[in-house]
Amino acid sequence: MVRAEKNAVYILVLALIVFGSTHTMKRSLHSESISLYRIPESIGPWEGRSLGTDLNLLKSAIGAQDIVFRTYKKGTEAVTLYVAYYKDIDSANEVHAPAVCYPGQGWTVSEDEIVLRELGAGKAGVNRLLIDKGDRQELVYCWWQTGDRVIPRNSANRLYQMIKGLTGRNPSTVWIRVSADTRKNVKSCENSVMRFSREMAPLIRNYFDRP
Amino acid sequence: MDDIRRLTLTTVLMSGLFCILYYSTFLELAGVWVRDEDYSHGFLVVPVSLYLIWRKREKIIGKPVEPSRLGFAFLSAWAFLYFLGIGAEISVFERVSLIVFIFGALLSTAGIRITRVVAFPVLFLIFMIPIPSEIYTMLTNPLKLFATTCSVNILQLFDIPVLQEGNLIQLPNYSMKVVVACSGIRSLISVIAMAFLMGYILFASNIQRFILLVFSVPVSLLGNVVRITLTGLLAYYLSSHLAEGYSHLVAGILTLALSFLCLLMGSVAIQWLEQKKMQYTSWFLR
Repeated sequence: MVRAEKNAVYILVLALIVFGSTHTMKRSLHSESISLYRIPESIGPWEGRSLGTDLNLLKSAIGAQDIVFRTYKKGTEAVTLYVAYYKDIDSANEVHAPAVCYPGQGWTVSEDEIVLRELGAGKAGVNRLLIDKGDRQELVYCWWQTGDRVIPRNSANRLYQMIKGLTGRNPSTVWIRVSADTRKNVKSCENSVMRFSREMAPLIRNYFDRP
Repeated sequence: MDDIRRLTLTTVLMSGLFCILYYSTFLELAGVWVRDEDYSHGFLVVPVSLYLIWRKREKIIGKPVEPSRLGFAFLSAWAFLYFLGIGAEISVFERVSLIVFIFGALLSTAGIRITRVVAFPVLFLIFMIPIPSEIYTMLTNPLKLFATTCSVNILQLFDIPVLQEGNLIQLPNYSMKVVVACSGIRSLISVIAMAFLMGYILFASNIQRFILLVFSVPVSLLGNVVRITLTGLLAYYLSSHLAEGYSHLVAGILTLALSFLCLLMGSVAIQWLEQKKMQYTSWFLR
């Protein structure tokens, strides 16, 4: 019985040390302040207009702290931009992989790959999907922006966020999706999505550079 | 008697420490249990677990206290998980760490024999911890798609004009919300928890428990088919308002009750099969 009591004291000391050190680390992480993200309605030649979606409902459903959901047009070209800001790893856990989410909404994913694309500061890997529903077909580019990094896959982003969190850096992240109706012409649609992504991506990266 | 007093003192000390470590975790968990219908059973998990331990009190007192070094291996794992959970703010690690801590503390202070007696009630606590949404959806979305397709087919048998787009069901006067499309199958965790508990109480064999646990998946699927179909029927024949709010809640409770009934019938069937097996075995041996 004496050994049990001794062990109890060891546990008490160990637990209080772990408790104290982790909570001190957590406090230092929370001392970083972040201003909420806003994307301008005009991005180069592209003019944006918000979609009539209830953003508060969407925020509570997907656990995001801020959302931008707009259509951007340039002449006859049109793309849809969806950006969701997550302040920590837990809230970003609510995001499902597109390959899971789209079938849930009745889309069939016909292509799902990682491609290198120019995003304003060199090439980076983005997740490219081609999805179909009835007569409609959409091209989707999506990726995560965490700090100065562009990450195409959820799991890799989660790991990077974890490393940032453990090293006392800000683990907040942004999920970006640019999509467009192909109107049966994937190549011209791809050009529109690429051009828009190149103009828009630096704005989000700059956001992370600000205090 | 002196031993019991010391054991009580150690238990009180460890419980106090547990409260300091996990006070905020339980507050967060309670928030999830209130908000998320899939985890509303979370409020029952701790009382059930404590009751199961209370049932074993005679056995616990009867076992000798033999502290094990294995406990410190568990406590090292706990420290790592707790550090990741709190430090990197990954709540699933923080929550799972509470179970690892209990095992570590039990092994280090009471020993393997006592820990073995309370292992099930402690493991049962896992059901109060929400699975990360991304993983849960990935695992259960195909089941949900299947349940939706079954429900749509049943609704069509009633000559209801219904259109399915993935998990979205469009009726002439009602359409399910977009947010539902991305979530996993409803009540699966509650039904599995129920099967886990029933298996522990009703059966002595681990094989029988496992069969009941596997059986809980189609039971949950059936519950979802009934729930979606009922919602569709109510919305089409009576009012689209009935598909939401209070009636939605009642439909949820009814399907859970149906799942419980199915599990009970499954348990009876497993027991009956076991009896038959025994009869045939004795007949062959005769």
